[in-house]
Amino acid sequence: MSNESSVMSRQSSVRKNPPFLLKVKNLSVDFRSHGKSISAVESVNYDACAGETVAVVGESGSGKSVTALAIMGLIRKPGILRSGMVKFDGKDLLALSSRQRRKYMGRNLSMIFQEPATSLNPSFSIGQQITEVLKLHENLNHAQRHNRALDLINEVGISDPVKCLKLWPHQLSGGMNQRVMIAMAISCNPSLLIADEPTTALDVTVQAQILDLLRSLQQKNNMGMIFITHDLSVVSNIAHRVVVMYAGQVVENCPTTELFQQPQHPYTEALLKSLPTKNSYKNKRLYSIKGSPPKAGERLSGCRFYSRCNYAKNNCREESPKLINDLQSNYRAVRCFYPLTNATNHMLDLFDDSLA
Amino acid sequence: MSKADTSTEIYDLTPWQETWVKFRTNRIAALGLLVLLILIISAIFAPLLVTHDPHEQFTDILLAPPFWADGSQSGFFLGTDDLGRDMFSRLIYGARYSLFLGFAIVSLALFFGVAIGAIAGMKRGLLETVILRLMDIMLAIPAILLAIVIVALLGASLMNAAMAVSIVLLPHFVRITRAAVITEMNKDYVLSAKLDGSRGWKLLFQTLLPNISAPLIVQSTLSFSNAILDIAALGFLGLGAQPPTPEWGTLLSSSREFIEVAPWTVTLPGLAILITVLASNLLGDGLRDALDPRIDPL
Amino acid sequence: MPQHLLHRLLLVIPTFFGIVALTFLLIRLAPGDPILLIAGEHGVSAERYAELQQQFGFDQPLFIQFADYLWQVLNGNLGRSVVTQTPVLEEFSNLFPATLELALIAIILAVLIAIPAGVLAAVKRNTIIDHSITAVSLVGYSMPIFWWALLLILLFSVNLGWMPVAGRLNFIYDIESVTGFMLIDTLIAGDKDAFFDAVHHLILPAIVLATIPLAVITRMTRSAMLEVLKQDYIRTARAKGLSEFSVIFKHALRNALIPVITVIGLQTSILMTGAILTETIFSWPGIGKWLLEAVYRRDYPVVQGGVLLIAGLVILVNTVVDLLYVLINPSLRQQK
Repeated sequence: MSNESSVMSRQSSVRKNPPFLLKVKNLSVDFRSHGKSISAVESVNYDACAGETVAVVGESGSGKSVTALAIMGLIRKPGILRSGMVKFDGKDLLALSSRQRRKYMGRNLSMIFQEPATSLNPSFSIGQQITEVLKLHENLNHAQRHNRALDLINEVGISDPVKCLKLWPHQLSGGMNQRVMIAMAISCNPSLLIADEPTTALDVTVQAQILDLLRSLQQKNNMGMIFITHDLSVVSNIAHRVVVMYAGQVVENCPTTELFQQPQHPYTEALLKSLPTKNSYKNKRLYSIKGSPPKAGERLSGCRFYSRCNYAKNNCREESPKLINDLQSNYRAVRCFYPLTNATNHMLDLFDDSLA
Repeated sequence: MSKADTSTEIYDLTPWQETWVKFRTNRIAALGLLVLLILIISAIFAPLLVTHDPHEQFTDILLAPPFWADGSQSGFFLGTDDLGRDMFSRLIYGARYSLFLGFAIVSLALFFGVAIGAIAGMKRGLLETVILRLMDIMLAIPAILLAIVIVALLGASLMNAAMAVSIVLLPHFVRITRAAVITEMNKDYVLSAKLDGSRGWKLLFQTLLPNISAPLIVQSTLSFSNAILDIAALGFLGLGAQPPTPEWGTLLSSSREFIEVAPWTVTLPGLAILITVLASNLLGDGLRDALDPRIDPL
Repeated sequence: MPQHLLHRLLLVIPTFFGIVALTFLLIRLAPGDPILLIAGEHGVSAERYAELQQQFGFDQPLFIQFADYLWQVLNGNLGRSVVTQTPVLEEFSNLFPATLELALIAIILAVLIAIPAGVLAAVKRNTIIDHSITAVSLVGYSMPIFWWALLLILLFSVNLGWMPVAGRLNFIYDIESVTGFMLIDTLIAGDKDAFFDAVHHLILPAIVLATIPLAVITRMTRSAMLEVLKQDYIRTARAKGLSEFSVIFKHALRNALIPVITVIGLQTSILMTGAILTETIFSWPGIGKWLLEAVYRRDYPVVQGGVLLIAGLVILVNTVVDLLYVLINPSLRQQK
């Protein structure tokens, strides 16, 4: 199966079932520092259906991870959840008491992280850490938990599960630890998995294996998945839909194929242009976006991408664009006064190149 | 000045200035420094500050209470002891013993500790092993016990007690210096100094010492408070300063029997010890946070 | 057994050897005639002098003397007290349970308060609770405990009359020494009043002796917890849906305890120092008071033997702590 056809087949399943599994509405997170509030995430909206993989893409500091942590209720001081709603399975997670929310976390809704090596507790064996989730959320006896843990280890593709359960995190490689993290995350068959840059800290060969594993688990269990990454080239392989974030805001939200065919936001276009292609070694310099993203706490009037945008017009500096649904298709949205339209052919070429 | 200004400011500073900026923001540590400075100044200018000769006995004013209690005598605002000596004057003179001895003890331990530690770190091999074993042995003997042994051998006097405490503090400096020297020896700047022909003591003092001074400074401050405590404890046990020396621990021990009738003769010297030790610990903690050397906090 | 554990155990031998050498030199380094030192201040007859000289082998070369001393030590012969003529080892073992009882109660008290306090301070970082705990532990850490003991006596014994001033047990009770632990012996004797009297006598000395370890362990627990709470695996534990209680006391504390246990072990030395002061002030019949009195009386065989035994004890505990450190730390345990 070629990459392209995999994307096409993913496209077909998108948004046939409008009841949303997860709906993030107007989520804002601030960080307090030296008595000042710095906005990390500003009124973020996105959603995910059952069985759908949504990739959240953005540079570091764009607020993609903070949003995910907020969904999980993991924002700690100095972070403060300013406003917003996270509807999951019909309930607003943020309105629940922490005791009620914990019933969902790790069971219906689980998360894996960027650094597998430090995300596992060094003082507990792999077996202890996996069975802990089962003990917490499932009504199983000791032997059943053990067997379930063996099955899970098997499922994430680790040979010799019996031995693995007895090992300690420091005895496993980063890739193996991430498999263990995945086993822990899927142990109660969650309907939604949040993967926060799960492959960033891993070797390239291992990255591909972990991606394959996540994709196959997602398809097999019909899990919803929020896949956070800064790497757009990974997205085409795994996601049905892409949410692009910039400086704490969602700037574009669009099905994967259409995004690659025709990005509407200048930032998305710039991101796609800066992907290496098979031609990029030919005396062509890799495209890079001019300037740098605004620093946290920098107050901006107007469009946050204004200073780096190739298409900026005068009103972009004063007025802040809103995230507006595309009039032709109600499943994509963009935060731009002048969405791009005619770049299609050019971008398609680029898309083919980047995947070859 | 806003916080943002301070943070940009730091970039243009030398490491020592940067430390000072960080230290300045730590109010508690600054308080410790202030208290210590006041104590040092009163110790230096003790003759000008005191109201009486610390040894003069006013035999008609025995055990007069301090100014807040009934029956206090004017002119003796912290009261008098069992021999009618002015408590305030004795306490001020006591600061001389504690502080100057503290400095002397720490300087001695620092000097020999750095020398021995540097030899261990630079020469390595058998000599290093022997030195480390020796330090382990010294650390295995509880501080006061080792001091007691030394005092038992050499006799009870303030000087012997000071020497004993200095020896007790030595192993910490040796270990810190050795560890720091070994770390630094592998760095390129030391290699380049070596290629320039710098070796031995020259290499140590010109190249290494400025770069390993942070943990040594912190250890010195913390050792200073230990030295004051140990000297006072030995004085209290009768193994350090001998009466009528107005050393704080000795004052405490000679007033012990009057604790019921004249509690201030016991509480005041102890308070003086506590305040001094607390101030130097605050300073030490602040310096550790500012310099951030990776040394064991204990 | 992993190699470094073996290595750690083997290191005990030269250290112990060094302690023996140090105590051997103790008498010989002292100014004056060592025989007169051993004999005490009262002077000796010529025969007694010759007898002592032969007994201690001072007529032999230093090397032979040391070999002999080492042999005696290994055979458990530490000489006799000049004052009481009792073997040093016997006096030590009679008095040691009193010190051990006091030290154990003190360290248990310290750990039971310090660990929750340290955890609380870390969890409530930069709140008034944290600042209070930090301030109190800093004062405790800076406390001259001999003064602290006197203050407690002044308040609770002199002014309030709640606590006895000195000793282990009121003289009206006659309890047979079985274990040497007064709390246990009074229970064995079945004398409830005596038991409570023993507890009563223990309270103030135990508080005094616990003060510094309490402060040190609180500080260490706080800083270790702060370090651990920043770690990624704490976020993972929360993401699993564990309660904050489990996150802190199971996932965080387990890792924070690794350095804390080392620090608890290192308190042996501090406890022995404290015991000398505490026992002297409270007239507690333990080895601290015994050793100090031996120094006052220039009873050199007791000083020599006492130092050797106490240092040996500290080395033993430190070694056990080091081994324990490896055992509780999975990443060290598995090394070859």
